[in-house]
Amino acid sequence: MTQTTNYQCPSCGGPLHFDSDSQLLKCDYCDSTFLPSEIEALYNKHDTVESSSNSWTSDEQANMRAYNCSSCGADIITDENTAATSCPYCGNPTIVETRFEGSLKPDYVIPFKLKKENAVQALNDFYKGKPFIPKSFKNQNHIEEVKGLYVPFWLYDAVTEAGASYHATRVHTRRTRDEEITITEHYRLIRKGNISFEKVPADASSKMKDEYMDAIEPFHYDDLVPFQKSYMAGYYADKYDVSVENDYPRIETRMHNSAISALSSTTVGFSSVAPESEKVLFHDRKVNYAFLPVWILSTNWNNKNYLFMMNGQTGKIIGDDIPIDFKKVILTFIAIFLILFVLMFIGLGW
Amino acid sequence: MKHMKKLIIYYFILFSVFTAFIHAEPEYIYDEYGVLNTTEKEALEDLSATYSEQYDCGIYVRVLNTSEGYYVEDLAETVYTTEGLGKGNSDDGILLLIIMDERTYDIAVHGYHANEVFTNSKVDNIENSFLSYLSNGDYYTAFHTFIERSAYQLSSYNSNVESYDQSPYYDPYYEESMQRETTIKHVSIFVVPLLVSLIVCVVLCSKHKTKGRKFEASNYIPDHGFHLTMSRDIFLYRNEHRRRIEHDPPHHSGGGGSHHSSGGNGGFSHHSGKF
Repeated sequence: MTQTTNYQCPSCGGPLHFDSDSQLLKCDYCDSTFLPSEIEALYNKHDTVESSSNSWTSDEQANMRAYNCSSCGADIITDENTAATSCPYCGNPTIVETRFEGSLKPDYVIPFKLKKENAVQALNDFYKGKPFIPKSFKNQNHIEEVKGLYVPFWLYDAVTEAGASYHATRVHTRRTRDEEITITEHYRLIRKGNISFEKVPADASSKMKDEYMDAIEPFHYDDLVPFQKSYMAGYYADKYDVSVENDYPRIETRMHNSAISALSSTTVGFSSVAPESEKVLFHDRKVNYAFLPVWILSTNWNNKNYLFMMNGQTGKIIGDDIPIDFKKVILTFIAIFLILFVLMFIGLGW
Repeated sequence: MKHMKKLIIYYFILFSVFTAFIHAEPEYIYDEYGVLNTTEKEALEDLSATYSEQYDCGIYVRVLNTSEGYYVEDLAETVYTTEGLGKGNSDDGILLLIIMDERTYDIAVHGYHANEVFTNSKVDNIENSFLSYLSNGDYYTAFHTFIERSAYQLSSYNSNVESYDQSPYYDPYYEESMQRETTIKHVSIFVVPLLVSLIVCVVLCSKHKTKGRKFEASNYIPDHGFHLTMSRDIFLYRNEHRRRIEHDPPHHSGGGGSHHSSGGNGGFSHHSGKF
């Protein structure tokens, strides 16, 4: 038995979407706007429609879930992690209540700041400044799908106690008429410090590759607000399926590297510095569960899918490796070579 | 006049101590400071003597510790006359005088024949040929070059050949340096554009790759989130390395300015400067 919610306009009954411009829930039909908290309070009083899934094989049952759209009554089939989606029949945004209950309830969310149009524009801008893109890629690489997705993230806090020692040298050189005298002074440098980290993000969805999610960082936490389901309206969302423990090692590596780098930044004024020993201890670890906004743009060119992702807060866009037109590379190489060759030829007085 | 007298006395004593009992004839090479070893001095002495006899015009080098406050040109003339340098009826000769504590030099030309041969431009060329060696402390090569170039000029004059301006005297160091410069020029005109083009293309290609894992978390250190609790720099030891400087070949840029003082056909003419 699974519970779903369609947020509907209290005025006309039309579907409500979260509007990233106004940061309010907006009716698709009558344009009325409501505070997310207002609608949440209203819906807490309402009965929700229940439905149960049936006739799945055991494998399918393990991975798939079926719901009834509370707006049109159609069956909606999703995978087990889907937390917010839209009805394929009536288009109403649908939120799966059970994906946000108990320990699954996120602590925070950064609401979408940028719209679908911004994502499409960002993709076009993304091609600029890349002169080696094949012309046909620009012209024929059609966007097949643009999807606003709240990606589950673990946000790790920790205080590190870091210590390191380095072997450093300071070199002085002086010249006499016949000799060059080099004096090398050797030092041992000892550095210790406390470095705290706040909300280092690690995506908690196995569907999202780390290399994409790492690349769209950073997120700015000024916009981080306590989670409310109504922010999900009109977007897709998945609950986490990578545990805190499984994500932690790579975050610990990142914090370790940055702690050592912070200590290393204090070893200035030497000719060379080589680390001898490094140690980082972690204290006061804390983790929060948050949904962060990501626009996913899927394109197709020459029967190959290309995936691009845009940070829904900052607009930073990254994507699959873009093909290179090697003819353009060679022409550019020759052009630069010839220009410089001629300039040097004239400059050197030949 | 009083000063001149003092100068003559000073140089006379100096010269007497070092040379009077060794050679009856004036030396072609005299090194008070000790910039040359015995072998080098003997080699230069022989070379200078050979050319001087061959062209009947003396080629001399004098290296003194100090000028005692006198002008280098005056000192050169004093040396020349006191020692009775020069060949032929008008005591023709060319003298390179080096004052080590001031790092000054003077080329003094004396005699009708010598002044005809060693015109301003010719002395300029001689000067440019050895000045870089002098500046770099390669005294043997500097003096060797001075003698060879002077001899070549005398030879060219005798055979009525216009020398430096049209066909420069062959200097292995200069030629080698010129050859190296030309090679560098040839290589750089291809290599520099090649490297720049390659770097530009690689940078532009790298823009096609935007995804990637992150291995640091510096963005998530809050303001005042880093407190250094210990910072110690402990001195361990020091070592010293000495390397003998290999002096570069000359670049013909010279080490100091020079000027040409007056000199009648039979008198002195000078080129002097610092090195």
